[in-house]
Amino acid sequence: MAVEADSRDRFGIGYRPELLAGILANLDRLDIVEAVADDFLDHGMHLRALRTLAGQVPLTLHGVSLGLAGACPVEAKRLEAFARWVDFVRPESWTEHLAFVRAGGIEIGHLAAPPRRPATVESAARNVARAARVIGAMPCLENVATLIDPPCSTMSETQWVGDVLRATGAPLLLDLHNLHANAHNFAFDARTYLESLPLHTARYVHIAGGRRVSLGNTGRVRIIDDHLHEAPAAVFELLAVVAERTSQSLTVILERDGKYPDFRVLLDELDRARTAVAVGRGRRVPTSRGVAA
Amino acid sequence: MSDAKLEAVLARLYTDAAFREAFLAHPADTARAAGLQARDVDELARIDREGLELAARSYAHKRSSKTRTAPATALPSSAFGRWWAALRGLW
Amino acid sequence: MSGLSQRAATAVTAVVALAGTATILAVESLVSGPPFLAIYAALIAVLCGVLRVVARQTDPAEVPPGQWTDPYLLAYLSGGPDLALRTVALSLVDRGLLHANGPALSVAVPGAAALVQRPVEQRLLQVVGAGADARSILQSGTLHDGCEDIQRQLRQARLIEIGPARLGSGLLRSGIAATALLMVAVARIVLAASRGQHKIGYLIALTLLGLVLVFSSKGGWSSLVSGPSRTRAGETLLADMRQLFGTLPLRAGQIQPGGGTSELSFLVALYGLAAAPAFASSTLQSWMPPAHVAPAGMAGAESSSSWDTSGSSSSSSSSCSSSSCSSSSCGGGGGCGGCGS
Repeated sequence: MAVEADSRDRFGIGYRPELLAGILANLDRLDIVEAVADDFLDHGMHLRALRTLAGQVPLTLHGVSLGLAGACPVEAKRLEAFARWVDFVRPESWTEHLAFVRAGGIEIGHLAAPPRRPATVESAARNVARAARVIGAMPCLENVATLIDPPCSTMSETQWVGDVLRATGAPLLLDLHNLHANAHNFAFDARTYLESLPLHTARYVHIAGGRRVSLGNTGRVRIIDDHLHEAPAAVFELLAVVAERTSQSLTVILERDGKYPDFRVLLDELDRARTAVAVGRGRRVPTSRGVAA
Repeated sequence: MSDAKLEAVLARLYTDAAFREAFLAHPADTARAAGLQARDVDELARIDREGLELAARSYAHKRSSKTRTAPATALPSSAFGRWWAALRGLW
Repeated sequence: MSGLSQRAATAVTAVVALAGTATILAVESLVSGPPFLAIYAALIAVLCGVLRVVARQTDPAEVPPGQWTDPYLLAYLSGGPDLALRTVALSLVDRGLLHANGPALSVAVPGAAALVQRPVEQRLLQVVGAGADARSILQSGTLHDGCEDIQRQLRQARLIEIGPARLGSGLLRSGIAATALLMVAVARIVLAASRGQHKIGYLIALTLLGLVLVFSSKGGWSSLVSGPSRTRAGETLLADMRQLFGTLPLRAGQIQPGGGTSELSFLVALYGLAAAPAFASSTLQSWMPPAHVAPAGMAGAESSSSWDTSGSSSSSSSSCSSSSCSSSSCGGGGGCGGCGS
């Protein structure tokens, strides 16, 4: 017997200045907004403004530059600065990526997947534990998309991510387009990946779109997770699978970073996500005690 | 801390075009000269070259598109800074 | 300090004034000439400082809890009922419920007032009816009354205050400070007279200066302003909303007429009529009273053609067609995980 969709699932969108009018005019259709913490420093936007936004709609703070999965300890001053932002803005949660962003004194400029091996599981776990202690709350950890299969890896992505989650006890921010892109680019099955992941830890889900690029004359194609396009059907199918395989509430956040369509198009995309989650929840089979598996 | 060294080499490969060119021409020698352990040298020599070029381009684009400005509202980090900010808030 | 009640603020002012006065009176007979004037000037400075600090503490800057996302409310906060009503009218025209032919307004859809939920929109549509001149009705008290709801919301949240509400406490504190200064000055003059000293010109000048300063401090003279004025919290909310919208004024040229997006309303609400995109600016200009001179940046009055809501792209009056401050976000065009274009 199918179980009804979890009514506590939430749906929201990433804050961008270009989307704010649509966000504020449609708060009845949005449960949450995600703000990238670094935007508010990189572009001089006032943190106070972010706090005001957090007073209007539930907000989660998304970090992109701590480098929690790096082999080296995250600098104390970065964690302390982030702690001050969290303390000041008072978001409902904070999230970061399982990536490194700097090494050997070099700033890469964005998220890089670290080599997947036991030592990097340990270093990630140490960094996450320290970050949680300094900032005062455990972050949700996001799987990253990568254009290069991290060299010198001895583990699969699903093994590595799973081990980090188990070692840290942190919740998961499952980025389905990142998964979709990696699965395509490195020839593994996304659904099998999901089956191996501790999905009971998933709290947030990202959906987004990307584009395909050809690699020279090889005819091979890779997917770039550029957040400039509508989420593909495969992402919604994966979302339904996640909803089917989880019993906890999920918060689904649509990411769009440019080439903004009319806001109603983005709302339609969120409605597709709602439908996917409802379909997935509807496929859940209750246990013998009547509780959904 | 072989992993730290490995990540440092990767960071350099992603961001330093000249280093990347030298590496692609002589991967093992370049990796060895960077101080990597033997097993990492061998693995790195088999790097996903297409992915490396794509990633490097992507990171370069990201770095150039970020307009770094001085944090306009960096929250004070020292006790004196917080005290001064509180005093200014009174006024 | 999260905030001070008016009573506590007055008490603090009284204590400081009393302490300062008592101190000076105690040493008055021992000090004369320039040293006394220096001490007296210090008392003035201290009293002005205290007045300013307590006035700010009775006016907290933090945005109160609540949802402050209504563009009409923000328009009222930004520019009062005039801007709020023009924003309402603009929104109704953009949504096809009002027809604007220059200053001539008419309801575009029969029974439009029943199609909207906002009282201020219903009021405006009812007043416009079969036809009205925007220049007269947007200034009329009837429509201003329609903004009562909005004003009440803002006042209850202490985002605006009516001048007389602050009048009593602010003037009382200034009066206490002025009394302290006068007491010291009079005591000094009496003492000087008893000693046969007549050089009191500097003392009188300093006293007059002090009186001007204590009454012009925040909460003093400014309380006499009779209309609604933004509180510090109101200023904060407005500044923060403008920050969050980022480069909206630069993207004005990208707003499509008849698109029904709320961007047009937020743009005008937060940045004023002069920020309106080209397709709206001539209409807005024609709504101004005849003697009004267009603020800098507004397009000159063109022929009073009706608002083109056919969806044709508007000519951009903005020099910037894309955000010059695109967020880095998780991607900034690249997405999480190092992928990029």
